[in-house]
Amino acid sequence: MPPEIAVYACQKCGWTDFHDAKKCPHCQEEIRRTAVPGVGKIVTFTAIRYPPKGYENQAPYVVAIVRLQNGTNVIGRVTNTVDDLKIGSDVILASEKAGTLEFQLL
Amino acid sequence: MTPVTAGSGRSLADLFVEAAKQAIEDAGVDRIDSVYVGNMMSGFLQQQAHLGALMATALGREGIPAYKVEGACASGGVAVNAAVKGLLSGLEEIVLVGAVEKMSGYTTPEVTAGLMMAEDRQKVASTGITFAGLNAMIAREYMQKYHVSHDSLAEFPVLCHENALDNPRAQFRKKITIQDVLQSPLVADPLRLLDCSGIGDGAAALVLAPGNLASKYSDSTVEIVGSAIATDTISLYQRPDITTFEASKTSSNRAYKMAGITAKDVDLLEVHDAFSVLGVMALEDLGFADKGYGTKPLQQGECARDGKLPTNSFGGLKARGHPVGASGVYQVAELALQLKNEADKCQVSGAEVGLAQSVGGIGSTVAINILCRTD
Repeated sequence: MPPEIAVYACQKCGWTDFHDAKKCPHCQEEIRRTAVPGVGKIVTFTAIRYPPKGYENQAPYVVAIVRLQNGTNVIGRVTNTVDDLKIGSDVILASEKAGTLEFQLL
Repeated sequence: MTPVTAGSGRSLADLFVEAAKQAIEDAGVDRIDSVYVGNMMSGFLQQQAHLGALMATALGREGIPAYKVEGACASGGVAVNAAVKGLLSGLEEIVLVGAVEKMSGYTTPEVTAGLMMAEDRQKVASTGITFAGLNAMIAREYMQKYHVSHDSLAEFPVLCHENALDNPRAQFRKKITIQDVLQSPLVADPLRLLDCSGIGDGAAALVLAPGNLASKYSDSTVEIVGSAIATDTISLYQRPDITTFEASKTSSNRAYKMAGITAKDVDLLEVHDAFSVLGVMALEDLGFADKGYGTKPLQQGECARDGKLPTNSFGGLKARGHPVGASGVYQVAELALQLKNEADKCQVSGAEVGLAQSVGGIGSTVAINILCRTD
């Protein structure tokens, strides 16, 4: 079983995000928190070579938007090198460090 | 407008006052009823807030109402929109709108961190992504989805550098080729250094007044016929399609409606080409090319100064320079110079209607200002 990611989804309009929300910003309905499998496909990705202050010693590193199987988009790191990745690559959650999701190729 | 430079060593107020005094002198006005100041990063980089009162004081006009306007890199365009609304309220008649940014004198990681204040801190900036990175994500998806090569995107910075050769205020007056873009160092894959605008200091300012009053002070005026802004989600990952900026479409449609025109009536453009892909996307989102075909007007020469849709005729963000919060006012000032036939060596011929697009964050705020020749 892959590790799970908590996602938040509106039961009425389908709005969904991966960070905590109390009410749906669109229709004010209650948000339901569910745990979904930490697997998905890369929507797009980049490798950061000129990082912001505080991240200098980590570069280069890959950041990607990942679409989870349930349709929620998340953003996080991918531990593989940029040349190994493609749009549509399958990834799995490897860890969560200080609130940042870290994926790796499945 | 001040020249855009890196390493000016000048203060925010010094830059702003130079641009403001030029604008006031050029307009010939004897009073200012209020001032709008666009800026993004002074709180972060200079530890300076309260730019409204700061600039009113620096201008020797303490007492007048003053507003600081912030919409990330669209701060300048949003400030113009706010000033237009101030005029339309009828409570103000002669308004100074200016914008300033000072980005040099800091390390690249410091400036990069400052720019990331335009995205969601908790969810997105915390990953270590940068604005070059977010735009690189767009570029990668755009090129794959629409089968567009990096060579084609590179035509945008090449055009801007060509146009900047004739602009004495431009930061980068150097001709570049597509090969130069493709061989420049990677910043955020696949975007390279020459896909990206640089780090610079600058200020620009305008004086706005109702038409009947403006013509009493000056015989060389242009009219703002449309002004609108729109927002989209703060974060790129929250969008179903990242190859289009919905806020560009929404704000331009609002501005076209206000002006009573369509995109077909526009014959002069200033678009927010902070990254090569954004220039191409702008041509699509604003109604000048079909989706996925934004490189076509470039390849057909339409965007050149002698083309039918001159675009970024002073060099745009890429080559004139992008002092982020100030760029939106530079764009409108440059359109005004063109429409008044005061653009010197950058002059295009016969333009009647110009549109400026100013983008904040990753398309999370877009400001559109449309100007029309008055003579």
